Amino acid sequence: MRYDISQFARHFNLYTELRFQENRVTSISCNDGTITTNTKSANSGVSARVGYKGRSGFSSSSVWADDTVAVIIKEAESHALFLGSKANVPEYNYFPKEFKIEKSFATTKRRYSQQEIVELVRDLDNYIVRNFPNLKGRSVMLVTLDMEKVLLTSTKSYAHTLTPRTVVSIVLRAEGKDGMISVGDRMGGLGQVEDVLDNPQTFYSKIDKLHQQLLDKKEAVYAKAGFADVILNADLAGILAHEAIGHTTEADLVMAGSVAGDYLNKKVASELVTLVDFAHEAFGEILPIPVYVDDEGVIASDTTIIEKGVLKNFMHNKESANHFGVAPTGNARAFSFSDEPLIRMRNTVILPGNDKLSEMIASIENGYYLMKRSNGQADATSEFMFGVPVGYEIKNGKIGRAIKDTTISGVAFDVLKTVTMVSDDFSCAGVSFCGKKQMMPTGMGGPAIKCKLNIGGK
Amino acid sequence: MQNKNIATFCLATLKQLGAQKAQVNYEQSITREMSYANGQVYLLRTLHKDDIYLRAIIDNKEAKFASNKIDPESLYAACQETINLASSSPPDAAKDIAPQQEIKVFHHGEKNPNFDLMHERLLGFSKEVNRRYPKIRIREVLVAHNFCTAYFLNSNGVDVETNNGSYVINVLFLAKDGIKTSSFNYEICNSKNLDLEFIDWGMLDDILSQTEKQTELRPVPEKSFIGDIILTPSCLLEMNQMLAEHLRDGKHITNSSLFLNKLGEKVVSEKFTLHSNPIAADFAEHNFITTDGYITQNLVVFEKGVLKSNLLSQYAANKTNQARGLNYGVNYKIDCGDQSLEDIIRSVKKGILLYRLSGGYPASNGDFSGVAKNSFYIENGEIKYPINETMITTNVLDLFNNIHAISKESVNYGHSIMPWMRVGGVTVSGK
Repeated sequence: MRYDISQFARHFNLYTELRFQENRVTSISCNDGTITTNTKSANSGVSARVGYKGRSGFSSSSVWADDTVAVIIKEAESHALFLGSKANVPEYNYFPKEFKIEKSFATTKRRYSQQEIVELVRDLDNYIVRNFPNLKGRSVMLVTLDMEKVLLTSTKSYAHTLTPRTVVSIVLRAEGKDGMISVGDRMGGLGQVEDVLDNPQTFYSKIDKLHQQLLDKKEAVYAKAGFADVILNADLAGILAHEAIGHTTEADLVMAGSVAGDYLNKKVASELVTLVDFAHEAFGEILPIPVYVDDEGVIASDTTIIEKGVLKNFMHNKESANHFGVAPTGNARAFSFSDEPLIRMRNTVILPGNDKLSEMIASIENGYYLMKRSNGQADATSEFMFGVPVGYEIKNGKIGRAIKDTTISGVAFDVLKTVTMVSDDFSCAGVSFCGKKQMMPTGMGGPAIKCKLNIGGK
Repeated sequence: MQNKNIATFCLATLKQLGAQKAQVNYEQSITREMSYANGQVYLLRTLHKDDIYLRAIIDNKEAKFASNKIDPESLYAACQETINLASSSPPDAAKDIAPQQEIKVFHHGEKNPNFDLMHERLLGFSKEVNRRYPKIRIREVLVAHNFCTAYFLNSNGVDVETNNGSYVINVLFLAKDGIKTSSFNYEICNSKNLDLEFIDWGMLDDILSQTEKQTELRPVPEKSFIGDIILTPSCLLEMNQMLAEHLRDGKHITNSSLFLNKLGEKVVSEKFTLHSNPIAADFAEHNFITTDGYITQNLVVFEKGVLKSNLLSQYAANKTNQARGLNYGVNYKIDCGDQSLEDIIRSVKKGILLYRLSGGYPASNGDFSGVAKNSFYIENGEIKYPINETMITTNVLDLFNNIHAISKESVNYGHSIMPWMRVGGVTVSGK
């Protein structure tokens, strides 16, 4: 990764963002004791985005020789002039701000060799075999992503960041009543493998819980299809915050017609609900996806989206900030060097309340406690769908039988109005990718919430 | 160093550093993309890409390494890294590379985009949508031309060059009527050229027209019923992907495929015939070579319900003692039936015309459920109204076993050719 980006400033003629970026990935999979994947990749290059009259030209190359960098700046400039010459935008604010920020989450420990990382994966697999020999199958997968960026704008914003992530995915399979069943979990988060896998015990205890869920699922029953009282734990509350509310309040989707555009400063949720997209820290802790400067050179700030049930703000890049006449929030992020920055969430969470989870369960006569999600989708109406591979019945205030894989759905702005209890604990995970045009690591979480929604079943 | 020399250099270096078997794939591509949103073409991009994929096997220990740096020092370092990685892998006798095949150079599609026509088609599309469907709000339209030259070499003598050029459009939109909003809808289509106006690609005109009717939604009238669903071509494509997943490496290696040891058996409805045609003339892009170095051939996956071929790579085939697929699943085509869509709709007593399913991943046994999006309730052979908050629960195998009819009409998306398909016995639940 090169750092001498300032030498290229002499090529800037119009508003320009120049970004060098490298994404380094390691992927190791172990299926039933066999290492089936052992790969590394490095995707790096340079991109230039040039603005003219509110239009953008962009060019990128994986070659970062000096003459190539000059060529791509020139090409982006010519694209911007081509589009800008057809535009009629009187004024456009690029929000100039001069600063220099360096932020790295690289480990300070000795780096492991690939062999040592393979052994760590094997160790987790051995733990599963040793303790749960009767499984029908098992998979352990480790994926690391180190994202390093150097950004320079023509308005003298400079940032050099290194944000690593290590995620371990574990799947356990067994024979159920009606064929194969499985449970899975993703663990890890911010940091390189030396920091995230420094204590295998924390992973062992999660594997133990996962195995118990698999045993419970052997006797699982179908959920009863229809509208139900449920408790969503932090994992599901987080994806509700991200998918169903978060996306509708990204300003580019608001401009495209999402329902949130009509709800600003209106009550959209129970007053127990406050929902925030944190930039990098909350409650004194670094969050899983810390963003200090976005890829347009804007210093990232927290965005309170819903405050005590009232929709207060949207998330912005420079373009939407121009459109709405507000300040950008530092949400413009690009996944690869060849991607243009888009409005993306960082760490989107519901804030904790005052209820105890045990009291929340006890308050439900007939409903479900939903613990894990697989995938999730939502759209402009805030109608959402999440896969739920692990959940339990609640009968007369007590946890009952496990339920088979199901799906929950609803209109998020309606569902949040049904929230009657919010737990006093909080967790935020950074193990997912969001897929809005480009992949992007995102953090999400919150407390457990009690609400009503639609559950699939028979 | 340029073009094929890059791949040749890497292959020689891997062998020199100790690889007993080596494989190199070097891809060089240029993408030119225009983006339209909020009434304007706001972004014009050119992406120059070089991707090199290295693979080495030493004493049955395999490693793969990918990089996008093509200067000699970086290439040499990438080869060294690959060899180092191999030493950290455990031995696996199933790891191998493709055998020698005829040296080939393939060409398909246009090398250079027609830039002016891209711009013209983009603006023409937005004007036409405004004229025909005034309630439609376009979130974004991307039109891109991609041209990729790839060199595939291995130490057994595989030597294949492919040149592929095609256009893709990706359209995302919704309808807005006052404060009433439809769900997002979208279409992704490929084409070899820009001969047609965008509105005539795939099913775009139809789904724009249907989406405009979807600003006022309600759930199906009953809490739960067993009914029929008519899968539209784009929805059928998604269901087909779920089915095909059980024919691929992952499910077979982990013994979790629904079709384990079922080759040659009737496993789905006799109405169902599926082709995977990487080099058929109907498609915008051709896929000439598999990721492990075999020149592809078109194949029949299911014929009248009988499983004719899995989609297994060389590794999975070796690992599970089965036959390798002639390709690994691309450019799918489902054979049409003999009923018109109109007749199929007329034959549904109670059900859903399913345009899109926002659904969870199927469970290991194939069960899945999801929310019907951009879809309509059908009763007594008539399309009644657009729906929301309606969930569908079924099973992948049940779905393809309970086929009542397949339409004689089909849609060519450039990447797949799909008809409409009526399926019975599906659980539909409302609010």
